[in-house]
Amino acid sequence: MNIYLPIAEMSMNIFNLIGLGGIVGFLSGLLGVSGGFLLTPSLILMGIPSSIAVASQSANVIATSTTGSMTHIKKNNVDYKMAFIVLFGGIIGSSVGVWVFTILNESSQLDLTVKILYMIFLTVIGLLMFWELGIAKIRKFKKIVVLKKLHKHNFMHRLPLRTKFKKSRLYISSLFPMIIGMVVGFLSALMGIGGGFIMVPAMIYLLGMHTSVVVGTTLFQGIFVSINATFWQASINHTVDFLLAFILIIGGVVGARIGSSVSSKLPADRLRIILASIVIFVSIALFVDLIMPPKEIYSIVSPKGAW
Amino acid sequence: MKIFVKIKLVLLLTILSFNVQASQHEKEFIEIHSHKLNIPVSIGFTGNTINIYGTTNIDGNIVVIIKGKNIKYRVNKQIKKKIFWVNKQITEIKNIPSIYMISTNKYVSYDRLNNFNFGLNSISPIIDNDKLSKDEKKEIWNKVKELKQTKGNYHFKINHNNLKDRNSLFKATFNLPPNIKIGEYDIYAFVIKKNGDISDITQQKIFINRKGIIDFIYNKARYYPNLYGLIVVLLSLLIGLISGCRKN
Repeated sequence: MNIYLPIAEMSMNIFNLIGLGGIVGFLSGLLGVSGGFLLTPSLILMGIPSSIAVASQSANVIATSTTGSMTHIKKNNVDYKMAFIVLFGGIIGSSVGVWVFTILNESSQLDLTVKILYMIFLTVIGLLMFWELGIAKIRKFKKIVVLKKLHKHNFMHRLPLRTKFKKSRLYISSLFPMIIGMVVGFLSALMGIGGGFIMVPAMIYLLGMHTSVVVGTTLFQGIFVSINATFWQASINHTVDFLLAFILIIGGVVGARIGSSVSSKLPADRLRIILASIVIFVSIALFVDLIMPPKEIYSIVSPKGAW
Repeated sequence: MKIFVKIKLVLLLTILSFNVQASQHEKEFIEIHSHKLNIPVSIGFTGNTINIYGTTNIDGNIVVIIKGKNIKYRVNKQIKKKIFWVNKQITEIKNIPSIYMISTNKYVSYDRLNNFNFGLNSISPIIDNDKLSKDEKKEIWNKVKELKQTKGNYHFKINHNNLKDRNSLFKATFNLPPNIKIGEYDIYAFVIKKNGDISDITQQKIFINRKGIIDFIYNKARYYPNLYGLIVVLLSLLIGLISGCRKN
């Protein structure tokens, strides 16, 4: 059964879209990862124009971040001061990201940029996942216990505008979280992601935040960054296909519920290996797509975005 | 519903055949009627088939054409840089129809059609790029034609069976692609007579419109982008909140 997407101006099989949203939601519920980094490249590989895939996925991120952050708000796992400082950078970053997105789209370079960015990030994520799994296996096998310091003092502690973050038990410069927010916000707008896969390790390893507040803080600020990105994408580029986003959200919500309900019954380690393999596979598929000679070297695009 | 449409078509053909008999001794004529004047693009749209019924008392080759509005396109060419194939924007091409579909019951060359200002050769695209030579511009236009044919937007079938010559009644069937542009389309019909002249040209319009939720989303996104952005944001938030409440 096909569905006509009004902004993409094309027909797609609704079951393929719900299925894709469902699989990504399932993985998200099962392993606690946001699946945005898999969803956008999959949509592109399915034939949806990059501009539509990225912008529509931003709307999806609003819904998933809201759902995710509600649990953390209730558990008081959000550092609001940190979230607002990161958010300040995120708003600037995502606004610049939408502006760059417009320029790239008008010069027909968006597709290439998005694919290359995803290829790089997915390769890094996939390899890091394998690395982490490998290290954990070795530690488990050799029964090594690693004791970590809460955080190390580094150059951030010498930067100006230092402030206390009671919830995170940090006294660092506000500039660094703001810069992290800017970078992640920029990538969010350009790639249609929540940015958790960059923000979470950055908060843990660079800022030294406690892991208990990292996910909640990331998700909370992610709501507003994706709201900013979605609004500007709709307003400036007219590329947000709400019908597409809605189908993906529905698939994602159902998938996430199933995923979280079976998460305790399935072997997490093996599933993480499967996820890492999927990430690497999508990255390879994008790489092949970029290096293979195209079937037709010419293409025509209507300035309004569709054929 | 299908039976009702069939009855309507039989009645139409009967009326048209009476017309033919009545006008056998009258002056030459050609008439057409589309079985759909408004084609809705709704949520399940995957393209559409349109039948043009007609009648004529003129002996010759019947030509039916559907032509969309002239629009402009951006032409890109993929070139290899290092290992990647990247897009290079070459030019803009203006004044070309979004759809150009021709149906005839006998062979007719493009050049012949061009004599009557019809066919793909009659289109005069505008390529405002001084850096391109005349040959390059011609190559680009040929490529655009090829691409439009691949997408089913330019369609030229000759000597095929979908146009029936039956006692001067004819039917031309066109398959409108799923990527068809919204708007007004002109249908032309004429007969190339045996002596090489053409009959009067008869013309009709059909409209392709968005319907329901498709129309709502498109119009809001295109004409009220700020409001649309706000609606999308609020609905996404709402879905997230509902989903979050159920989860908790």
